[in-house]
Amino acid sequence: MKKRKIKENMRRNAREEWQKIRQMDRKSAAVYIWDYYKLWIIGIVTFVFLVIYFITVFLNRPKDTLLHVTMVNFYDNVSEKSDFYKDFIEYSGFNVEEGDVIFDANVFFNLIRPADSKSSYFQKTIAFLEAKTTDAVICEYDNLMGIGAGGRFLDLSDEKVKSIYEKYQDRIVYLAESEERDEEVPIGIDISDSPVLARMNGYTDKCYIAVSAYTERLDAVEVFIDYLLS
Amino acid sequence: MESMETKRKVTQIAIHIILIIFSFIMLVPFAWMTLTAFKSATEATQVNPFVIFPSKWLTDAFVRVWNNMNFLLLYKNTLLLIFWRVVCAVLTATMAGYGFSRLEFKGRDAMFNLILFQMMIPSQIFLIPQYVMVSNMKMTNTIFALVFPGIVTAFGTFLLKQAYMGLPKDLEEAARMDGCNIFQTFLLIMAPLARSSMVALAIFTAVFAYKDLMWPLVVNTSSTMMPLSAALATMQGQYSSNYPELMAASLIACVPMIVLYLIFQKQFIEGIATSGGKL
Amino acid sequence: MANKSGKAPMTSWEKNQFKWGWIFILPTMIGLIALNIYPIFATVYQSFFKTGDFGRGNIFVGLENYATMIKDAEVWQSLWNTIKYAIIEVPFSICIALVLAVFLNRKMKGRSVYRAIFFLPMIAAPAAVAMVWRWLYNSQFGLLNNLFGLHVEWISNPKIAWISVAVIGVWSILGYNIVLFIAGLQDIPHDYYEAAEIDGASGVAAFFNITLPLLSPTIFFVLITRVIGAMQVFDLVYMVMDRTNPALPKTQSIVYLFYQYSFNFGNKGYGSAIVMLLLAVILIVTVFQNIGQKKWVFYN
Repeated sequence: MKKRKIKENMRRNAREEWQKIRQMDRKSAAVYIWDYYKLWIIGIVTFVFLVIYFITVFLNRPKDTLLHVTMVNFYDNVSEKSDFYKDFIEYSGFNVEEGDVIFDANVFFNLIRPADSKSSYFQKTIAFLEAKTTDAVICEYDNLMGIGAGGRFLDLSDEKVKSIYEKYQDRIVYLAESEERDEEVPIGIDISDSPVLARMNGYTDKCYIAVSAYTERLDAVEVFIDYLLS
Repeated sequence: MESMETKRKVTQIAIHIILIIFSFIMLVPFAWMTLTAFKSATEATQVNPFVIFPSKWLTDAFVRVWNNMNFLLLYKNTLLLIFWRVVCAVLTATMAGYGFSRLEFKGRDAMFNLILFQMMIPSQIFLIPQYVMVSNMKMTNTIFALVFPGIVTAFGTFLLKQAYMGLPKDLEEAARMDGCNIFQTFLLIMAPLARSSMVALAIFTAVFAYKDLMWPLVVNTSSTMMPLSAALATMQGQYSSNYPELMAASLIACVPMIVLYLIFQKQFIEGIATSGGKL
Repeated sequence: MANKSGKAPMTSWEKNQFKWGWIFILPTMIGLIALNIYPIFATVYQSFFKTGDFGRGNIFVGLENYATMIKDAEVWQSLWNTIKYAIIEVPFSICIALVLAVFLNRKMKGRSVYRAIFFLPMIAAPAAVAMVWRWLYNSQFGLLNNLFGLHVEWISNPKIAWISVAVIGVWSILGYNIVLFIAGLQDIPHDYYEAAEIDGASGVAAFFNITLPLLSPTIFFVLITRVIGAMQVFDLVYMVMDRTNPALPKTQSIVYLFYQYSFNFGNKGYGSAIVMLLLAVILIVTVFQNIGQKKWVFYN
């Protein structure tokens, strides 16, 4: 009973309102509508705008990732237009229509400097490792040991990466034992003599690649290491 | 009568002196930024307290920085980030603050304790879980991703709650007598009165959004979606020792914030100061 | 509220309040629970584990992290450093900001210029701020020592260093507090001051009798948030200090310690336990403040 009454009331009000607006000239009608309904108008426009925005973003969602490599302190171009990128795609045979291959070189820190252990770039790297965004990290010795001490790199003697371990046994570097660890842990592969990197203006010092402890794309990582050392 | 006049003048001057001293203290880093931006790279790193002014005023740092960085794009991203964070924060906090301060309902105090609880946790623990959320939504490299952690604000809710609690109760009762329902009372009577706190919240949100470096860096890796803070950090990472360029870029980056602040100050703060007397 | 027992039926006014109250707070609560509360519980959960390094999985250790923490002198030293820091930062930043805000709220020449100047430090580049403070505090070339002919080791003497750091804290937070206080001051109706002026009350008397009580909700807010903020101080120390600095152990904050364990050492379980300790301390302080507010905070 009550609900129907309210509905009738609303309908009658709307009709009256419409009559009132129709009788005004165009200008005063616009002023009237704006004065009384501006919140509704702004709200609806914003809402429509947001819906459109989310639909466009949703349609342009990034594809799945095939491989994501973080390159710390690497100053050469590794974007999708670079030779490095194109060359690797050709080598690996990855289909970039199916998913993205990402090289992220926008990371700069050096853990030998105390202030850098709280640098935003270091935190970004940790976040990327833990969120399974990144699959492998290329960096210099101090950073390798610094990040490695947090246990976020994969122990290369693990069954999962047996083939990598066997292939590059002579290149492996170990994280030294410490108070908390009573054994050395193999975490990095020396890639300083990589012919691919030598062609680029990247590292002047020795550099290493380490595999994320959380990654699920180990095959792609192996292809990438093979590429670096081919 | 005359002695009161002189007394007033003396206080007036004393206040100005105190304010000027503090202004100097507040301005030092800004002055340093400006002076360094005009120096040469070698001159900027000298540690001598008595060489303050550049020996030669050079402007090439500004020119180089402006040409190397796409400031218009960065301004756009930063302003969009600030705009949406301010809109979301002010809207949700104004509503929630009213609910927490002026309405009595079951579950209110428990919910408010949750808000306080959130403020007590250091923000570093939120970084990774929030990034995982955005990453799982596949929304990285969007403006939405930038805005995401700032959609709601515990700080703002608490601020607005306190603002409403300072307002007299009889206004609300009068509105209710006139037949306003709760939403109308909130929208037409109470929210406008808390405007100066909303402005304070807007300023805070804008400044934090502008300064926020960590989140944009993690969530938007594409150079076309970066805000100013992340672009400046990238520049600092690449040429860490070039202070003149870094400071020139920082100064250019400050411009929209100063303009925004001046607009806010003129439009709102002064307006409220005069209308406040009519209450 | 008698109806909290749920036995007596709610009146329509109460129903109305319940409905609108939840509508008002719902957007905030949903966002907060998804964005913040859930990660907090994940942290609590984590504090019972030892993080498994190198992809080997986590190990449940029960209360072991807490037991280690209680015996860890570094944790208590950091907590004490943080409390000392807060004891300096909170009162000074609030008192100075309050006085300056009252000045800036007066009708006078150049008011908007001053306000703009006090806003500027908030947007200054962090690198510039760090450089300036390093330069001020430098014991050989520093401005402070040269200007006053002193030989104080501002940041390497453990007895002074934490005060030097707290001064930076006060400086950097002043602008924010001023913004909040100005907002609060503007909500005080002018009539009160006019009435006081007619009564012949001096400016100082008006400040204590009108401004302070009417501003007390804002002061309370600033106090609560500032205490929390000061207890969470993170990297202020590293702005001016290097790792070789002998004063470092006496200034390291508790949040920094947590950060080191969680991010650098990868021991997230222990880091989470430290966060829980910090949370407990802040919680106790806040509860006392909440009880205390009834004595001095004045609500209309």
